[in-house]
Amino acid sequence: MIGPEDVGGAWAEVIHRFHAAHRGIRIDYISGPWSTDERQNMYIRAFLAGDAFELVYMDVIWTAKFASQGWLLPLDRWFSPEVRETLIPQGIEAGFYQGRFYRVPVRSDVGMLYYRKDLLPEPPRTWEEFEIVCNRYGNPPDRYCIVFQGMQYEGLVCNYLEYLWGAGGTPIDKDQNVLLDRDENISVLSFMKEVISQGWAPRSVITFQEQQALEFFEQGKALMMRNWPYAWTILRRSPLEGKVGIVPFIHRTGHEPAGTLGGWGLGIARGARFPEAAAKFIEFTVSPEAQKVLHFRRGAVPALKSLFKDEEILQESPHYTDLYEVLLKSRMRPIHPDYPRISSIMQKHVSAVLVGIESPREAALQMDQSIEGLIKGKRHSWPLRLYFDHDLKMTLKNTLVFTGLSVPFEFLLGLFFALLAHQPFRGRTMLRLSVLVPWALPTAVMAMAWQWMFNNPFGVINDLMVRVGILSKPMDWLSTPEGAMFAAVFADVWKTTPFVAIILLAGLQSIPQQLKESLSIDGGGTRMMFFHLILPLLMPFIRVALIFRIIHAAGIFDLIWVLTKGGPADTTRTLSLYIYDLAFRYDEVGYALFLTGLFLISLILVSLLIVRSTALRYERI
Amino acid sequence: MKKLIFSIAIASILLYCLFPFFWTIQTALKPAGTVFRLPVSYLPETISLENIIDVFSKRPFGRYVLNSLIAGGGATILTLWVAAVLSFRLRALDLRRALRIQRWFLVGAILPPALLVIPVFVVMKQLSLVNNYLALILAYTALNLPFAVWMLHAAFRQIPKELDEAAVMDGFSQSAILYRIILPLSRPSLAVTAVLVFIFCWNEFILALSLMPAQSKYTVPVGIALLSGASGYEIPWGEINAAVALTTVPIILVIAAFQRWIIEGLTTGAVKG
Amino acid sequence: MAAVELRGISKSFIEGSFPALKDIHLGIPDGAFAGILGPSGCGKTTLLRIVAGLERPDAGEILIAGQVANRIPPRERNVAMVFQNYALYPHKRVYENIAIGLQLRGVSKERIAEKVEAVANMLKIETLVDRYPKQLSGGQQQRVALARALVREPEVFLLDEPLSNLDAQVREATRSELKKLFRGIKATVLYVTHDQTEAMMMSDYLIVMDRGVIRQAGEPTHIYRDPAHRFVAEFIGAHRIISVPGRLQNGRFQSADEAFGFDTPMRVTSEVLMAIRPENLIPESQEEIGLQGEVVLIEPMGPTNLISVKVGQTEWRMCFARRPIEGEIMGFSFSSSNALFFDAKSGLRLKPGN
Repeated sequence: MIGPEDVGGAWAEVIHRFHAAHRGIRIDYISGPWSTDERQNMYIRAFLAGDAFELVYMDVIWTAKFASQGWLLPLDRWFSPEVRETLIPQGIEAGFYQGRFYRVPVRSDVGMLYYRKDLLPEPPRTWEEFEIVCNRYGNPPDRYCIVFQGMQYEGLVCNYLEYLWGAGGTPIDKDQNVLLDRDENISVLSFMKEVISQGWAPRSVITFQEQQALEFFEQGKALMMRNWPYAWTILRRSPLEGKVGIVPFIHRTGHEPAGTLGGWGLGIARGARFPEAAAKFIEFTVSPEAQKVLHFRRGAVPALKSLFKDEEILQESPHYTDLYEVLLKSRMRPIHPDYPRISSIMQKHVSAVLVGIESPREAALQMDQSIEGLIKGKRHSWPLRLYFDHDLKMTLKNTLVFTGLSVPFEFLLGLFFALLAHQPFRGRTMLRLSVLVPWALPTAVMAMAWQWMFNNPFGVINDLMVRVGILSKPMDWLSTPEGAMFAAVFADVWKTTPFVAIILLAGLQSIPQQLKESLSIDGGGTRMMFFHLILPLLMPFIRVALIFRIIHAAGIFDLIWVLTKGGPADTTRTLSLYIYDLAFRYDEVGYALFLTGLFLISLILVSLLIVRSTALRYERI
Repeated sequence: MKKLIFSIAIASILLYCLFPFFWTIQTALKPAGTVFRLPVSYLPETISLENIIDVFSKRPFGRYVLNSLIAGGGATILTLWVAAVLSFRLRALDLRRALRIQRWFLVGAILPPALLVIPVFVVMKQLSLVNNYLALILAYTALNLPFAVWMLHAAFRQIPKELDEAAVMDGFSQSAILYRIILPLSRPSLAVTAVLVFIFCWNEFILALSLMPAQSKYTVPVGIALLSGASGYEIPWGEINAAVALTTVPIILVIAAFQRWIIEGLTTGAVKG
Repeated sequence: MAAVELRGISKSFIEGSFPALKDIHLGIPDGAFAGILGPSGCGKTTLLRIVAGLERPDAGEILIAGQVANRIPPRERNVAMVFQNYALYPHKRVYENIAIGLQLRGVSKERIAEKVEAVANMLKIETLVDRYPKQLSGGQQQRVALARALVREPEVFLLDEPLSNLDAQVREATRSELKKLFRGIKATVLYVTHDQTEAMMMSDYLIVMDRGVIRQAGEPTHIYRDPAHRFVAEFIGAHRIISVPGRLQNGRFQSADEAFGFDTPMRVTSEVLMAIRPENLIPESQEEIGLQGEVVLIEPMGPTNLISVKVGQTEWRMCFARRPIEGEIMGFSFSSSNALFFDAKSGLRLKPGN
């Protein structure tokens, strides 16, 4: 199984105890990335590869998708209704897909509001109270009112749905009708936008996941935080111990508060070699013994109902009584095999509102249409689907922008480098060597380095720009559309200019010295030399480099995938990323292949066009 | 004056090309606690290997390196071998025809891997080779073959045909001619081709990401890119930079050693196509 | 017995195009030093390579030492070849270069050492055996290439323009050495060259080729004196033969430009080319046929001068010890028995007999 980094060694302890009781069974816990999206992708890639893990440690929302794909084994025969009875009903309900039980909840999770008891006399319950509290007690930039998870990822949807449910809305009703074009959704998006624009939340929340929000809160820079129960354990060991309280998330007057049901559970992969052993382990993880270990070591909220009344636990976590109530009011995100795509659509548009590139109304309508299209109109033939494919249009536009920006810069800089490196001077070898460096380094790896350099506030680029005076204060490069595109183009230009320079340099060196001499004897000046001799003779080299660069810029994947993941709000998502997602996240390999084919054909056409339009007369003979 | 401007231009190119690399190394060498500190310091006051040690002890970075070496090394050897055999065959043809065949070859080489990944994945899955080193080795071989054939064919063409014929008269078999005459004589080109192919494999990302989904099979770039989710505070930037530095320093040393030949190889490969 | 015999060999490289070799019949006597002479592209090298087994003929049979060799691979043919650029293995020392053919044939180490030493002594390269080819001069490399062929003691040696890569001076010395060497071991040699002087001087048996066919084969002096084809007449000889287009009728030759005519024993009536070698022209004399014209070019050649005299449309070249002045009117003459006639269409030699 894969889980996040095993903080506190909780899983290690559970596994250790299990091993002690069951000799002959070995469980491996693999520390995956912190991001849940990432871990889901790891599982999906593994399932697609037909080389799955035995135990699948899944988020609530993965169940429908994994089960509908037939990747999971139904667990009904190991876990009877009586056994299920002992666990939190919401968690059990989330484990069902089309009447069969696939996932045993191991830890419960629900979104809620943490607040500073020491600073706020009374936590806000409603949006209106929230506004008042923020205006009175907030003092940005030293102390913001709230932090939450605003990055474009699943966590954003959890936050967003809490606002939506709290305003009486719901994304999809039981009959699969999409209800996102309603006014309450527009008002929810407007309110979320306001939370940032009013300075109640720092602008950087649009780059926050749970961990960042927690650290921000921990440093005392925010009065409230929307987060999961796990934060409690960490806060208890922080300077904020005793100063924090929890309440359900804010809601609109006249509606009920709701927390997004989260939580992790275990399932068994269909290809598992040892399902019996796996089931034994799952059974053990929901035993009081294991549940306590997970609780005490990790702060995991149990899935076992009885533990909420357990003396030992209540002594340690008196807030569990409240938590239990919150938990019983938790709500499930839409159960649909295509939930990942539904969620991506919501993420994208909510993020677009927060970032400021879509108005709440636009976003709500787009969201509604796209999800409606996804659920109802999935059976378009491929060519017809091209027409409706909003993502395709968007990513195509991004690809064109990226290519159109980076290729010209590479050529100008590359030509400049080549002209300089062509001059004889001491240390020319050194120059050529260093020009090779960006070219030879792995793109994906350097993308990480760029991410670090563009970091706010610790990145060197912000620091340099502020020092030189180009920027007045550090900028959030990777979380604004322009900044992210700039960063991607900048990193790409850095990486590929050397290639252009090397090719053009070879071209310059291929021009015979006698020609230049003869032209200068004929009385040609520098400009004449450049346009009438150098440029035409350089043409074959320029053409090769141009074709190569355009094709590769248009097919860019690794740089963007690592640097921005296509965000924010999909503004740097290129075609390759989209096609990759189609194949590896949305299981639409056929359509992905179809798009790949079209992409390929258009690249070939573009290349031919370049050859045609740049061929000089004498070359055609 | 002119000289001054020229020197400044050169210096700025150097800075531009090398700065990110420098920055990575200096971050990697900072003591772990001082990475997140404002104002940003440009030279670490104390040099510490903490981050580098962490990369190996806390994370399976050694495993990633091993995977990269297996996949990259295997692909390099296979590519070179297949390319040598193909180039030897091409050499037997007259130049015009050989170049025409080769040009078609190069059309394949120019495609970005992002366009190939889905078909390749589908095929590898059919062959149940996913998570198998062989999948990456085969994919990389296919990807780099055109380039390698380019380089080796150009090198083989430098060897006079009479040498083969003399060898035939002396009693060499065709394969002995390849292995005992042509290859030993093309050793410099073989070395450069091997270095370049290996660098390409070492750097490749998307195929490694898709064909080797198991964490125990991550190559270095995949391992580094998945070391964390996305931007923010929690990400272990010190360790990441250490991993980046560890990945890139060997490449820089290698290209420093092969600089001249690499430039030659790149340009002959790119232009004649 | 013929050491090498070719029966009806044909070869073309690209289907349908001009064939490289057309129906070649040839027998090379045992122990002969046979020169194959022709301009570049005439097929002489192809012929050699077919004998070596490096090319397969489209049709015809190759016999080596009386055995059909078509299907025998080169290494088993018992022939050795010396290449124009020597084709030494640059990564092997001289010793290995010479020895490798024997090694691959499984000859014992001691025997190889013995043989290599003998050959190296014979060619005076015994001090060079530890060097690499790069460290040798052109002449030395050529000897190594020869040694590599000699050490195998083959039935037939094939030499592809072995002298053409040498400097003029070395070439002259090597030329006589080569001849002595091969005469000494009584080997059969097939020797390809485009240099007619070399071919005349070295060969016992000369084969003149042109556009894929053998124009004439035989003893060099015989070929010189009695060329069977216009091509042979023009190709062989220190100075280019003079040819005058004209017509034979009623036993008389009349030049096309009406500049002169003379009686001949020829009976045929035909458009012809009359050819005569410059050395058969005698300046300032009154032989059987006398002509005179303006001196248009003088090329000094040391002891003599090559003089071009224009008569009608033709420039006549001849050697003359005296150096005339350009523009001078000069007389010369020749004997009609030295005049050769070739059919204008087929290029074949016309003789009084037929």
